Amino acid sequence: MSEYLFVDSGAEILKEGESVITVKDLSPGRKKYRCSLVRAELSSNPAKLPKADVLRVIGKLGHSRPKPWAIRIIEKVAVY
Amino acid sequence: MAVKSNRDFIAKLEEAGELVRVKEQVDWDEEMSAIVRRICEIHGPAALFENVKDYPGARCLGAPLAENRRFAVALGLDANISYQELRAVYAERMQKPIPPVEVKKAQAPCKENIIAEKDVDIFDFPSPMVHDGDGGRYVGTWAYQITKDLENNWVNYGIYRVMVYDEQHLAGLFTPSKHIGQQIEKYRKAGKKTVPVVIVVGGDPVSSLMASFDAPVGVDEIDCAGALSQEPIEVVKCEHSDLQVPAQSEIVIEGEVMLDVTVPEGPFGEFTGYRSGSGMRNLIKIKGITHRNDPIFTISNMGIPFHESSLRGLSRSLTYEKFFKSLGIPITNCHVPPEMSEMVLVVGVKTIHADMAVRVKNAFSAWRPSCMHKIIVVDEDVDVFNLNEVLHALATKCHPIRGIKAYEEHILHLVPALSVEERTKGKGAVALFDCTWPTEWPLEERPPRISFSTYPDDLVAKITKKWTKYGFKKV
Repeated sequence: MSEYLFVDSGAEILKEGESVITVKDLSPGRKKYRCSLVRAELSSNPAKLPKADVLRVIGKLGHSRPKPWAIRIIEKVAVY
Repeated sequence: MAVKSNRDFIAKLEEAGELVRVKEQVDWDEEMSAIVRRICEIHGPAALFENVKDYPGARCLGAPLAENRRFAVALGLDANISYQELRAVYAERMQKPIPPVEVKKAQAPCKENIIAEKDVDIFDFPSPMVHDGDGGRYVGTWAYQITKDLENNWVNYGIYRVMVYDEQHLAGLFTPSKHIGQQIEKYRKAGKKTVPVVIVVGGDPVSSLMASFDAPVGVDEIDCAGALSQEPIEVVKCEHSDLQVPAQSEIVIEGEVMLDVTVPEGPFGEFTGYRSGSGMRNLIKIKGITHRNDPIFTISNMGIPFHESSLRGLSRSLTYEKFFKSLGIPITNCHVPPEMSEMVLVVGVKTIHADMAVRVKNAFSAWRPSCMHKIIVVDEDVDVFNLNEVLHALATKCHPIRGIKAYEEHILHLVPALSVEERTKGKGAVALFDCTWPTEWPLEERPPRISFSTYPDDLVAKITKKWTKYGFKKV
């Protein structure tokens, strides 16, 4: 199970269902925090998205949200 | 003579006892930056990290210029020089800008390794995760950007935060009120899609300092770096644009700001001592990287002062002083106390007419906006560089109603006291604290200040001279 980070700044909307958002890969190593724009299935309730990865969320000033979301990445999207 | 390169600087810092080599392994993911932050808060020496996790052989210089002592070393001065002496040297040297000289590629250490666009991977360099809660890793903490104006040949050096996006892209915070933002806007209005930009990591300390200071619009910071160095800075042409970079730079990232592409950037812990917000910023496409053999990365960690940004107050205070004097305002001195995160300007004046403090404030507002938004105006007998005296004047002479005036006007959005709406709409406020005696008060009605310095001059001199003979330690 992989972990990702999302900054909920209001620029990209965190909502239930399919969405295109920017996530940062939290896998340890040299590429930790690498950003990707992805189309993904999202849920605030991990039980509703079994075998999904973990999406940690921080607010626009970096405050950590207590409950992670579930994320299942469908595809990477080109930024331009 | 000022030092010419980051490596010379490291050697000089070591000689001055201003550097510690850290051989213990440190993690680029917060640990290295947390150490730098602690150094800043205890006024410790710079750190040369020689064992960075995931990056065998890499070295990072942390807190390179987080103290006035290291500023003095960068200028080739004694580390123990006083702040006022350092300020005087700075002011004197800045009288004569010296343009850079171009050297050939073969003479430029920053060209020892040239990485083509297809081979670029910014993760090959140990960009730190600086603060817990930041939105990503920052290649640009103590790194400067170089851009050229579209309408003339003005070359801007500035330090702006730059986040790592992916292997070949970065994201930078280039606000419109900053020089780089103003230059970018001209490209946008001209219908351009990209702006050439260079990001220098591990620049020589003098160029880096000048990039962080405030030169007026149209003034090339590299000429000011030459002035401070008392000789021209050697520059070399870039691989992908007509920009030039200091030849002694450790790492040169050449790229283009993509005006039509934005990505999320931030949040990031700032010089204000607080984390500032995230938002959509322009993407920077990396076109290539050149670097010295075994390049030395540089990192800063802004937060509660002191840190690299704190030194900026020295140049700002001189800029205001010069400006006020050009308007005929009888200034004694100006000071931007580093303890107050560049938000407060202290001005000493001779009160030759009524409302002198208001005149100072009006002049202040005519200068370009910054985060500075509190102006303390004191009488000429207060030493503006002595925070105890300034706070004493504020506590005792500033009338709670008549002495404080507030004005709604634009200031930079990074001021933590601003509401979300103010930050978004570019609104703000400036407060004036008038700590001068009202001119209409007759001299006999003004409470005389009581301090050692108010005793007769001959007595002060006698006591000062005999101080150790009385049995006290030398002051």
